Formats: sequence, C-alpha cells, structure tokens
Amino acid sequence: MRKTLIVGIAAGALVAVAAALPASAAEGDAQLSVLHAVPGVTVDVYVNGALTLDDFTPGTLAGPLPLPAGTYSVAITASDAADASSPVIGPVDLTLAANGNYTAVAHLDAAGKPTATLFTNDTATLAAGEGRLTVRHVAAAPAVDVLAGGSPVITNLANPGESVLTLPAGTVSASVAATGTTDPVIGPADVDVAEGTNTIVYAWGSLADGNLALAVQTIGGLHSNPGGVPAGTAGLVATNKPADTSGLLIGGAFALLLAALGAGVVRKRLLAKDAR
Amino acid sequence: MPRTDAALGAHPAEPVVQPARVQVPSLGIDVAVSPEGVDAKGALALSDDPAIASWYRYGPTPWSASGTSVIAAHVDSFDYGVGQFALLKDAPSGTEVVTTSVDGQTARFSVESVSMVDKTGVDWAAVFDRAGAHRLALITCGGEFNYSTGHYLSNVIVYAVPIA
Repeated sequence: MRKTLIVGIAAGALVAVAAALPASAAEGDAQLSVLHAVPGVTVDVYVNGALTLDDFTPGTLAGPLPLPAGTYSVAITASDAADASSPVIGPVDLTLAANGNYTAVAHLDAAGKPTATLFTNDTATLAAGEGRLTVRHVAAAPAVDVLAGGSPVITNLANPGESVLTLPAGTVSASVAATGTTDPVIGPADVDVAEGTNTIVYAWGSLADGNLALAVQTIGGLHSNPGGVPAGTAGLVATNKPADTSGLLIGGAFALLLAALGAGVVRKRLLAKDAR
Repeated sequence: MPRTDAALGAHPAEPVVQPARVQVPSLGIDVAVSPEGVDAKGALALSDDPAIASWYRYGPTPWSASGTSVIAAHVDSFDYGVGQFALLKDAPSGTEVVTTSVDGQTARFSVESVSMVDKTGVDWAAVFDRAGAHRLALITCGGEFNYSTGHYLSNVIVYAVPIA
C-alpha cells in the first residue's frame, strides 16, 4: 500500500490555499504526517503552493495534519527558497482518501537521489495484547533483511517498500542487514512495539555515506479490549447453589453430584408414593 | 503542524506505576496484584489463586490521569476455596479501596457503584475504557453458576472513584 510519487515535474501554476487548510479536524478527514528523511538538508514544504513547514530538519516528523479528502500538491524546496517554484522534490500530487492515515516521506531512493513516497498507515484495530510493527525502507541502500533477536523476520525489503507484522506487545531487539546476511548495518536497537499501537520504523540515510539511522512514528488508539473476565470456577458462592450443600466448602462437581443424587432420591420417593 | 524528533529512543515510554496490592479495609480484603494481559481466549488472564488479583497491564493504572484501571480476581476455586473478592458484592457506597504500587505509592478510591451484570451483556469497551474519567474497577464473578460449563453467569463489577 504505497504510492511512489512522480518526482521532478516542473511546478505549474499553484493556487495558494493557506486558508483552505483547515484549523481543526472534521468528520472524515484524512490524517497526513510528513517525515523528513533526506540527510543533511533543511527544507521548506509547500502544500498547494502555501508554505506549510518552514525550516524542516532531517529526522523530524510533522503532523498529523487533518485534511479533507482530496488531492494535494506538495513541493519540497531548499529552506532559503522564496516560493515553491523551484522544488528539490516534486511537486507531487498526494491523493488522500476520507479517513485515511498517511505519511509522506521525503527520502533518498536506493541510488541516493532525493524523492518522496506516500505511505498508507495501517490503522486497523488490533487484538488485545498485540502491537503492529511496520518497517519501511527509505534509505539509499540495497534490499535488506530485518532481524529480531538475530533471526530474520522480514526479508528482501527494498526501497521504497514496507512490511507489516503483528506481534505480542513488547520490546523487540531489531537490526537491519543486507538481505541474505546477518551482519547489522543498523542496530541492534530496542524497538518498543506498544500494545494497540502501530509502531512504524523507517530505515533512512545512506549506506555509502555511513549515516543510516532509524526513525520512529507511532499511531496509537488501535487497541481492543479483553472479551471477558472469567473470574470463578467452583460455584462456591453461586446463588443457585444446591440447598443441601449450603455452608459446605466443597467442589462444584461434588455439589452437582450430591444434587443429582438428592433429586434421584426424591424422585424415587415420589414414584414409590405413586405406586402405592 | 506539530513537529517531533523521530529518532529511535527520542520519546521513551513513561514508566508505568504498577499496582502490587489492593485492600478494602472495611471488608478485610487484602490481595496481591499481578500485571496481566489476555489469555488464549482473549479474556483477562487470571491466576487460579483468588488471593492474587490481575491488573490489566495494557490499560490505565490506579495512578493514571484518565481511564478505568481494571483489577480482577477469582471469586472461588476448587483448590483455594472462596476468594476475598466474594465480599465485594456487599460493599456499600463510599467504601474505601486502597491500592499500593510496587514502589510503595498508594492511591485511594471510594466505591461508587456495585453491580451484578450478566456476562453476555457486559460492555467491555466501557469497562476497559482508556480515555474517560479516571476510576478503578474491581471485578469478580457472581450470581448463578452453570455446573456443566463451570462458569458463573454474571460478573460483579465495582466502580470506585479517586479520593482527592
């Protein structure tokens, strides 16, 4: 679930829409986050021609910004640009669906060229006790494997791809290695896979430049709840406890046996009475 | 548009204050508390021993600012007999509940309501609420028992609100 954005198209006539960006969330709005994962350059981000993120530094996550469903033109420029007319990335069209949750990532492609990718974040509800781990490869590096506790859990993940795992909540010791190998190029590092949360880990930077790193985004509130509290097994305080066992601290099965025997005795007496 | 440092480890999770003990002094209840998740059936995992209550570790703690902190224990067991939580169903409003954390902090609550709810009709999302007003829920079983399935038909749910 990703869309690689078309990069390098000359900026067209853009309508300034600063006023069109809503101040508060409305029903059905999409959520857009933006991650800056191009090492070494501070940038400005324009949405529909309006400066939205000024002096945005590498390794920073912005958002989430609630936006009505629709298509937005995003241009990323040098931080000293006067406007969006000479972008270093884009402009690109981001199509956001109602209630969708997205992260637009400015990053390097596998060959080290700046690009941008729009990822769709999985916000499906998780089972109680579980967390979701999403791993995205947005680094200038070949395909990788992701190792948890030294064993590969994701293999052959290539830029700009992602892999999504559902795990019991807890801390994962994660490392990243060239695919087919186990010698880490990143990590091992502890990643908290929190319950009811989509923990999104980005491998970014450049292998050639020696600045590979991990960035993390979390989307919480995806939890569900225990389906019950089965807090009794013996029937010792049951309101329907058989009368002839009241006051006795005995097992429910034994109580049932006694009840059955008692009922049997009564039935026999009744039958005997009828027979007379 | 809010910005945050996305570096791994830039936002370590808040340390969780785990409850270790819950007491209802006026009823003579004093049980240990263990942090638990869910069992294989997706229900709250509970110790067989009614003297060891479970705190739902993914929900609020008794020290959280919001949401319902859930602590539950078996009402009985073949091996251990009748548990202390069997006394909860008769707790009057205003009964004080004291929780003590692993590191010795206490949080006090006052019983607001006691209800016996048919297990098929419990709104568990409301019981395990993580966002609303802060409160404590003490839960056990009660009511009629199904002797063929070995389960009570109802839950006893006690809600208690923080004492300022």
